[in-house]
Amino acid sequence: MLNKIPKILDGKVTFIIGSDKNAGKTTFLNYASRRVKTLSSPVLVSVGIDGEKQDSLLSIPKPQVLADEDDYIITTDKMLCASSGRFQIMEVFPFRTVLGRVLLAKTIRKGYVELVGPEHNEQLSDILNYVKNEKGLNTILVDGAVNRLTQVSTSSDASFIYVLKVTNDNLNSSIEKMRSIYLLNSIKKFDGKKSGKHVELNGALTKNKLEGIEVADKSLVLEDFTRVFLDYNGIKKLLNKTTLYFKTIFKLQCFVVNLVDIDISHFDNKLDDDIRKLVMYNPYMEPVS
Amino acid sequence: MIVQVDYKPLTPYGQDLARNIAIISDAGVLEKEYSLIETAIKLVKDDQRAAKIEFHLKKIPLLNPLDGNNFDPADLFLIKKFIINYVAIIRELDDGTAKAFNMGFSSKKLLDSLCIDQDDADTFYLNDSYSDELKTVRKKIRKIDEELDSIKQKQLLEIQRKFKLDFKLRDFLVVDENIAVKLDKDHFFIEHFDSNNFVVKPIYNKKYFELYLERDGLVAEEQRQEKIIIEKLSKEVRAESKNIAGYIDVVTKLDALIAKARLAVKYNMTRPVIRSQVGNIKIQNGRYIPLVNKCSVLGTKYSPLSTEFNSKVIVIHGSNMGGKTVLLQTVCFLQTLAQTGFFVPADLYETVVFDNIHYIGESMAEEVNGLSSFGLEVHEFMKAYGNLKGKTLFIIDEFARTTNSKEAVALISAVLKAASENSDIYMFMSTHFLELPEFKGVSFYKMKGLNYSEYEKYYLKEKDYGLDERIRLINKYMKYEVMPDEKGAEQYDALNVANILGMDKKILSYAKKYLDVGNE
Repeated sequence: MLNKIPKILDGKVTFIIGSDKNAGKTTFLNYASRRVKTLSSPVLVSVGIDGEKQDSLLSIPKPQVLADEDDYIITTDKMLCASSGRFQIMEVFPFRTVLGRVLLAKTIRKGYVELVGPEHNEQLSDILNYVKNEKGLNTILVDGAVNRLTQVSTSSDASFIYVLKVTNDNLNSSIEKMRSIYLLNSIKKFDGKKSGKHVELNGALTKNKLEGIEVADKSLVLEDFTRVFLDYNGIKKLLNKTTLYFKTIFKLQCFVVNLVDIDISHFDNKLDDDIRKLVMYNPYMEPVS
Repeated sequence: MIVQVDYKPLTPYGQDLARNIAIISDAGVLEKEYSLIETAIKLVKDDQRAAKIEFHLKKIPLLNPLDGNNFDPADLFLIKKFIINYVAIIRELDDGTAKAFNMGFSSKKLLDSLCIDQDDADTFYLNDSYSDELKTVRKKIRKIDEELDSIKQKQLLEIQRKFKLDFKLRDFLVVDENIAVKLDKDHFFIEHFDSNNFVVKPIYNKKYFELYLERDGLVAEEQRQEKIIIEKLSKEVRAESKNIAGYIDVVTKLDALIAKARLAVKYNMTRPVIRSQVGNIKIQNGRYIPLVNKCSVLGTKYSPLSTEFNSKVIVIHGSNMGGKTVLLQTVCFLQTLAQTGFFVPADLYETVVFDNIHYIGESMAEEVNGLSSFGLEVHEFMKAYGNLKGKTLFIIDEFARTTNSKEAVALISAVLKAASENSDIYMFMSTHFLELPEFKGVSFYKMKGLNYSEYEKYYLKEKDYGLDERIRLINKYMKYEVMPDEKGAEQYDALNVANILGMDKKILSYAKKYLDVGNE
């Protein structure tokens, strides 16, 4: 599975999103960016400032991103100045954060740098469009803020990698979360009238909201999978009752699972066959020979 | 409004200007603006040249204030990008056009400094050519980086050979305790990951750390050298700040003019004719573009407005749905465009310049709590009339239409009298009330109205017409023309319009009888 990473990421906008604070997203971004370089120079982006100071995977200060020569980064002018790398400024966007102006830069000399992204989804969308359409840079890795799947919807052709840190405390809920995401990944795209009688729901689908919707003999249409705020059983019940469509489809590329105090075979046995095929274990874990 | 939809400057400066459009009351300023639009129209009709200019206009960035002390690399990037694109725009203009738009460039030294090594791309990097000191320190850093890489690779290869651990692409590894116990603590940093696994990182040799420390010192020196260069470049920018401010002004103007020219070409607009102090308004084929677009969508015919008003206070009568409001909106539209420095959608629009333009009618945006529509009309009228300053155009749609007819006529008559006695007031007022007195300087016009006899020939009694079709019928047989009103020639179209719209026949019959008795 790890060998597939360059192909999975090349030429796409991929959001690296996580189940929890410090799931290991930035650590995975560092690994993924080095792997994809064999095919193309990536653009490394972060969504805002998420306040994660520590990487609990390693219990050390949150890892900075290594920008290698010819990599592109989205960050702020202040973060560029603080890096030992050297960068050519390609664009300064009209967005400010508390850590300075957001810009696109190309790495001239490699170095570690903190990524600081725009604070609003529309700004992120504008930046991604600019990077793709104006600069022709298509391999974009976005380090997602925690529990904000909605961010994915800022780019309509995006795919995502879901990173989980699994401990004994969250083992069952993590597997349930993976099942939910896998199930939602199978939902088909809404195709206007071809999808038959339907009810369109704006915003989030919560348990309370679902109780107030009459969906008998009609399908239910949501913007995208990020709007579903139901647990696995809730989603299953909904799909037994009606057909669900999404206006925008985001493709799940894989799960990256970082196990803490859990044996891989124990975890693996708990997975459904289809989900198992999409699982990639901690890429920093050396297989036992 | 057409300006909000179709007027699209491309630079952040032009866009800011578009958000703050104001009425211009100086005829000389307007004439100069119109002449510049004519020059811009010639430019936009040259497709290739216009495309190149617009390409560079889109790349003009918004600069931070230029009066600061030191600029940072992001500021220098923006200034470089601005100047490169500004110069590229000038390159596309012939001498005459550049002169007409006041576009010149005299900051070559700064441009050369920002584009060192002839790097005229829209990017910025403090490259080695900026100073020998920077070049030297970077050369040393590169050499150390090569040595560091060499030590690292050698050591990682050794680790791979000896411990079968692959650190390529990874700064650390998570290994189980069976592997961890075999690792030498002098060569690996080892700490717990969980109960069974450890995080391991290679510890590089002494030489590596010595080089790393040396590199840190060199990076600090590099930053010091960069700071010197930034200070030097900032000084050059400050010396040119007045010129750059001038470039911003002229590029804003050019951007606005090209956007106005695009609009003029799109809607076949013409240069307004501004008369001297006195005169009346003359319109040939004036078009109210929002309605033209709406008619196009609905598939109905749009009738342009052509007329010459013979006095400064005009009262418009006419049928319901006969076009009175559209006439007022057209005059307001043309006058506002003309006085904000745009061409107008008309074959000819002759007018005078007003200091103020006031529209009082149904689409007034302001809401005042507790006021009825009549109250709001009075409030709006007094806001304008009570603060008269200079030549003022009032456009009033069906004033006092919601109050009783006797008092409404009295109020309208008084307003017309006041307007006729004040040489600074121009007024267009539509009304359904016919019993108004005549005043010197007040002219009465009417909309031509419904050609009911033609409609009757076409109308099929047996057909069940829908509302859209009925509206189209009114549109087809309504003559949206304005003509001088002959006093006493009364016109009653409301019942016919109600008939076309499907009013109950019995009620209509009562209404006609009532009208006949009333007339007798």
